[in-house]
Amino acid sequence: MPFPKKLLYYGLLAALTLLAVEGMARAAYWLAFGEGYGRELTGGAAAVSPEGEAGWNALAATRIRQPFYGHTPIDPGHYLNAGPPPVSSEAPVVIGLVGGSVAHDLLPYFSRAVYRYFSDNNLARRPAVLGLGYLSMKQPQPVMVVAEQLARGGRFDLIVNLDGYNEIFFSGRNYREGVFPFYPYQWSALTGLTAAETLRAGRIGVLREEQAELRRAAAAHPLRASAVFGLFNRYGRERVAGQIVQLNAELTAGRADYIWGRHGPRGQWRTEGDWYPAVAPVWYRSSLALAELADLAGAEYYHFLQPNQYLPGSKPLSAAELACCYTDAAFREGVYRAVYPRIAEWGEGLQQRAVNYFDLTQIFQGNRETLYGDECCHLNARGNELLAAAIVERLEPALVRAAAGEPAVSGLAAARPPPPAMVAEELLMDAEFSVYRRGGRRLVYVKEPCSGAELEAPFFLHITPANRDNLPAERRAAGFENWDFQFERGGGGVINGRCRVERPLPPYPIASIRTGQFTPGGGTLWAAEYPFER
Amino acid sequence: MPFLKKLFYYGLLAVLTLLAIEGMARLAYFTAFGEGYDRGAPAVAAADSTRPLIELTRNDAATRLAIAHPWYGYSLGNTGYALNTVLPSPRQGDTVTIALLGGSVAFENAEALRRALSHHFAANNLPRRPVLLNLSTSGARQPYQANAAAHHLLLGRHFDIIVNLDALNEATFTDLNIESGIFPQYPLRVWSIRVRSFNAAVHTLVGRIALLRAEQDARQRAAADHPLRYTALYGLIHRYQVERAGQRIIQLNHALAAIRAAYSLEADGPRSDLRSAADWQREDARIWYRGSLLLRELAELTGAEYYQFLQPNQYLPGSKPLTNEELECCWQLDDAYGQNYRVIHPRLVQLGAKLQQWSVHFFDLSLIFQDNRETLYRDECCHFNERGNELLAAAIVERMAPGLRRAALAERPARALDAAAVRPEPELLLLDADFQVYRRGRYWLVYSKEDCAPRDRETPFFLHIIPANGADLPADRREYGFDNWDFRFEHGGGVINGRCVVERRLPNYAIASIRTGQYVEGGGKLWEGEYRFEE
Repeated sequence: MPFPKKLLYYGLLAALTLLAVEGMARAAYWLAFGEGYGRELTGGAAAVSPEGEAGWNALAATRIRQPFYGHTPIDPGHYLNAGPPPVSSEAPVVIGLVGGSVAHDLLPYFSRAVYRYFSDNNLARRPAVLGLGYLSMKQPQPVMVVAEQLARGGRFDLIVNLDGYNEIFFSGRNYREGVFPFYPYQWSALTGLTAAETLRAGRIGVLREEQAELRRAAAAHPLRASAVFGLFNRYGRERVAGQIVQLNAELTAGRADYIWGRHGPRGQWRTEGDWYPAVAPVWYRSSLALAELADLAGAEYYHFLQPNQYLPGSKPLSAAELACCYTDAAFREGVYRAVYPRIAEWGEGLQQRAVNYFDLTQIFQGNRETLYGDECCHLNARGNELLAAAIVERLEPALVRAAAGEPAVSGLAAARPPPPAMVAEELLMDAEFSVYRRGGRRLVYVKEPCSGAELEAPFFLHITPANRDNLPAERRAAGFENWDFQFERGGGGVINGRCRVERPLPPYPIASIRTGQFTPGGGTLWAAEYPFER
Repeated sequence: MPFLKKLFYYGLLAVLTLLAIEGMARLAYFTAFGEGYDRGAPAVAAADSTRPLIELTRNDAATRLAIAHPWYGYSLGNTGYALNTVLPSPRQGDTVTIALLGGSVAFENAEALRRALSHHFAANNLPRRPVLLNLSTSGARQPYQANAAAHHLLLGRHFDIIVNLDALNEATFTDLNIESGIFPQYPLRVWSIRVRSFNAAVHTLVGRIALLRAEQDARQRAAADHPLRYTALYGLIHRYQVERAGQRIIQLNHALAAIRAAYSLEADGPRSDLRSAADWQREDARIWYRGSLLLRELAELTGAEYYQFLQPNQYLPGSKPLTNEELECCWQLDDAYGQNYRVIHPRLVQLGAKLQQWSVHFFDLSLIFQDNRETLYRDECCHFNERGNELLAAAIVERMAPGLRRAALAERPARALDAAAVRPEPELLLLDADFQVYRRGRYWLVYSKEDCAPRDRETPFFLHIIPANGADLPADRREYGFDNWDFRFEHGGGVINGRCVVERRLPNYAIASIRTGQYVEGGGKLWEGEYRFEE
């Protein structure tokens, strides 16, 4: 056979063999995974983690531990992490809002309602609302939060507590999971691995790295067009994912074993029937303690029992609410029904002891709108507006008193450092918002006139330190610290058509900051940069 | 060439080749590792490659000593410790409950204070019995004390008096935290270490190290029996693999160390713009003051009285004529404890006066040893020997006398939190041995003995609890079949008019039986008894 013919023959043979192998691989892929092979990351273990893979400690990704009240948000600029703002010579009316996620969600609406009230009534001082509530917080966490803020020199004119559901529900979940009911929710998921568990968690970490490597290969490998490669890659990913699921299951099961360090003390309750009566007294005592601490700080204290859809007769639920927000009734309603009457009863005790206590569980009684947003207890925007209005209406006398008077003299004030002299604000950037630096460590964003509509867009604040060593380890690759925030969550407010929000800066020397607002599509509404070293 | 000759030739060639390879391997081994190959000596990796960094990973051992705590930052991992128990202890008709808060000086003073209280009640014929709950712990400083009191009070525990003996930790631990890159007012490094060890990146590194170590172990086991272990070639490859894995483990340990060194909001706390230690010390004094006010407020809310004592310290000039022994053991000219204490002390005294203006029972004890020439201190920090603790406890009790009298004699009006208290429960006699053992309510054992001798108090008690359901046992006790709640008399015990009484809490799970008594030195038992609860 002449050489070119031979070459053609063997080339064709090789190509046909490769095609046959590829075809068989595609057939095998389809048989194994029930879907055709596409070279992009599609489906299965590639894009979606199988159930159970998220991990035994998924909660740890949403919050960080804190030594005096259990856990806080990850945001370093949050008041729970940054500490109380310095006492300002402008002496705003400082309102601390404590509670769980409902209070956390309410913050922007409550802030807006308070600012509107001050603006509409031409009150003399401006308000500053500090969000001190966070997801799943429950008593006695708010007591610890307020005590710590006061110990660190915080000042309040008014402390508002919106609670009453986490105390019931998350105490119950803790109880069922073997965690001390009055510890922070799922404290066990945030602490205390034995040496054997550490190794298991380490094995998961190693497998996750392998998994990431396989995913990278699936997305970028030169052979990724071939189903042969895809078959091996997918098989590898599924095998690793399966091992992770199994290790997670082992870890989760093992962590049910009682260890004092992570489950806390064992309560004296053998059954749920024993445990239910213990909730209301702790909630009651905590509220009294908050009232006492507020009194010590020269502040007023208002306590609101939040509404909840599982309380029979509290709201005619719309069809949308029945579909979205009444899906876990068996457990939630059971717990709520068992504990709520005791809460209501002890709440009356609070009123008898002159606590400004209001039961808001019935405020939606005749309201047929869709107000709830999920199966837990959270409200949609309309629900939050109504709840904020109900609270501000009841706070009115206290707001007027606080705005009219000087902050009350208290024992704590005696140890407060003297208020700083009026600090000059230096204009750094003049963009959509004017951005000033106040003193060494605060940024002030101001916009005037300001309708409020532009405040929905989240703000980004990227801080580049002069020395990269000052960056937290996980931010070194990015080269800057991310202190993004939302206007109202950041303590901002609108008064007389002027929007203003203050944000702390980290204490290390800063090379530059870049800030602005994101648009929903991923672009930026405005952006500006200021190099501090110039 | 005949076959045999050929065979011999090639055989010889092979042997010579192998010998040459072995020779070269031995030479290479010597060159690479600086020692001749010895098949008996296992290949050893660099010393620090054998284990991951201890403080980041050895949770089991460390957990027993200190654990991360959601309100205190850390606590001792001892379930029987009063700080860690939660059972509401409503006011008992015959007891005055005194909570002791503070750091290690308070912790060590607890026994002397118990004795002084018992003596005071007996000497003054006070009708009730004092029970001291030691809620202090080493390294504690505000707001730890405020949080500890809040935790117990909000859960319904009743105190008649809250005593806080503190102020040195405020002076000294700020510097330590600043040195370690931790927020000055955070708890000591225990929190930081515990929190850092619970981190996905740390777990992954530890997992990698564990895998490498498992491979090393497997390799070493295989090497011990491998048929080729006599050859240097095998030894060379084996040792190279061991060393390479060892180097990798060292690298991973360095990565762990880097995580330890890197700032973490969770472990190190917020960053602050206060610049100097002096700034912080001013702030520490203020926090100490505010913490005291918070404690007083919480105490008042529950109908308790609050007493605050500023502890003595040898570094305060003029506070004590130090003996030669004390100068030897307990005084260092440049000690950080002393320098910081001298700076903060005047501020504490000044703020203490303000506490008094706000009606806090504040007492400055820093000069109580001004004329005492005995040896009272026992270390260079601040801690006392037995005599020092005795004098300090006496000084505290003397100043608390009006409060103790009020608590013992008066039925003070129930305050708001008392509304949540439970009624006292009757006592049921379980065992009548050397000690009578009663059960009070569901959760307390009471040991009582009239006319008790020192031996009764000094001999350790054993208390073995067999649960109705084996699954209730902690994992580490299952092999024994019982929970071990042994204790010593001084852990909660007291002597009233010659009667020794000690109370111990029982676990919450259903109990099949208890076995209790006292050990004698040498292994025997002074007495023992068993009670079956299901009978």
